[in-house]
Amino acid sequence: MAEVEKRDLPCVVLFNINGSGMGHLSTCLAYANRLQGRARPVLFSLASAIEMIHEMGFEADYFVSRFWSRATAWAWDRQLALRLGMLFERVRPEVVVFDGTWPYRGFLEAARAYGVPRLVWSNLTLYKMGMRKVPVRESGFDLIIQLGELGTSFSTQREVMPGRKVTIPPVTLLRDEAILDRGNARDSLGLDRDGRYALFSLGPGNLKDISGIGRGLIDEMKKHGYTVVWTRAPISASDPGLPDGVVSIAAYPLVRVMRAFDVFVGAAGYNTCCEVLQSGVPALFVPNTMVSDDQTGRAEMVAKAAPAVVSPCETLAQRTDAINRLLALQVRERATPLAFDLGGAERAADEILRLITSARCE
Amino acid sequence: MSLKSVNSDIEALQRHLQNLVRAVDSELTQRYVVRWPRRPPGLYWQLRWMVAIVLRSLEYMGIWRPDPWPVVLKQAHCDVKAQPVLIWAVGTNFDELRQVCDRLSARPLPTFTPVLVTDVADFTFFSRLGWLIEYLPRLAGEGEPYEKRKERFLARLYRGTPALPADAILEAGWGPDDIQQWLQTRGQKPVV
Repeated sequence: MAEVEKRDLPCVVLFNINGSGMGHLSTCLAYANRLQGRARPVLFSLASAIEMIHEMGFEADYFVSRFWSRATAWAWDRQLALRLGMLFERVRPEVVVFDGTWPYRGFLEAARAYGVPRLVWSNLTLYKMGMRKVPVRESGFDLIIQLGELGTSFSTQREVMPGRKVTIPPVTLLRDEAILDRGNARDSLGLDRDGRYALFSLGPGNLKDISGIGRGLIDEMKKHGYTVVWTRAPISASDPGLPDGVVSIAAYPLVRVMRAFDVFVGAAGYNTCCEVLQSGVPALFVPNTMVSDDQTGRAEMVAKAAPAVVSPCETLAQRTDAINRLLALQVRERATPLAFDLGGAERAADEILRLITSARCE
Repeated sequence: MSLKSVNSDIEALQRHLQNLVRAVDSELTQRYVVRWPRRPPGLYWQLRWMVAIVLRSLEYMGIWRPDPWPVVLKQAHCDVKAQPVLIWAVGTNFDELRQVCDRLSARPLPTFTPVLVTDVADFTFFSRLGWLIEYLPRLAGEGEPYEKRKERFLARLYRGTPALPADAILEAGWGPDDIQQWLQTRGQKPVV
């Protein structure tokens, strides 16, 4: 985007936390993608994948995640407030969006001290049973965007501001037209057009060691004559050693090339599930049970509506059974796009733009 | 590159950082103060809130002294108390920066930990190093250029920390042992 254009458009700062995967960053990028041309998105990311943001054409700054830092919460929040303050004073946002479970104290204090005109909290709705309600007042935000799961349509829970609350359909990072078809996706990855490929994306492994499960599943897929393609997550702190014959790729966003593959094996994070729905590729979900969102519940919901199976894949028997069921699905159902409303990012962008208009009218 | 030349680059960087430290951004530090949160609802959160008050009181009284800004990350391979060393890589070429990082991470020493200050966005690579990264991006906007203001902020945050220019240590072919040796020698000399 040209410098002059950047200055003319209203600035929206998108703040993403660093979760177990790239989900929060993907959500912010999805919003940024739909705001492009109508606003100037600037990302403040706690996920260490800044070049991915730049490659998509957006400005960004990085700050070490609280999950990686050894600083006390108090010290980390103080640093966060200072750094965010610096960014706000430079880009002068009209709206600031926090995407994550728990808005940090440093974030809230920086927004207050700067005087952010409109504050938004974007968050998931599907959490594991028994998770404590976060002690942050929704009335402290002008808008709360709840990311709906499969089958959710747009709805408004509370109309009045502050604290207006909407639920949006599932969010996809890319629009459908940006997703490559099978042949082009294979060409872009240098894969044989006639080969049989299984895509593995079990997450960065920063919260859960996925190497054992991964190796077991690789062995199973290889027995069936598939070439395994392993995704290296940009934010991984280390890469697992891979057996011979496994092709390693670093592709982000993965959905762009997902249709290159006959089957997908991965965790059941929010964005992964949306990508599977959008691409229509048969999937085996291995839910990560160490995160706060209910990945098992989500995966089962998707499996009822789309070609997908769900398994913890902890034992050899579970892995064998899961792969057999996955391959049976693959024979029956070739990748076909599914008819679900996945327009959550468009709705979120519209809501954010409405906030800008309302702030300017005051 | 001769040792004399490396040392002159190091001294030049040290002078640059000291100049930055002198220009205090007091407006920023005064404006963005984090206030203590009000008592939250719910017993669980109130207990956590009270524990935090106790810890803050102990810190205030000097009984508990947490490192105000520990730079060793949780996933790092070095000792928690490892000495930080700034690797200053602003304006450094992408490939050359990778070479520097590869060399320093090939055989990490437990006694020191690099903090990489850079304007290069190569985070997929950086994530695997286990180092704290301080990024200096350019952002369009008003007032002082963002990267300049943040550079001043970082210089103040890490004041007194030994700093090495990435270009110079690459040219001199320095590895972890050379840095270790430099740190020991530096400890015996007055700071530049």
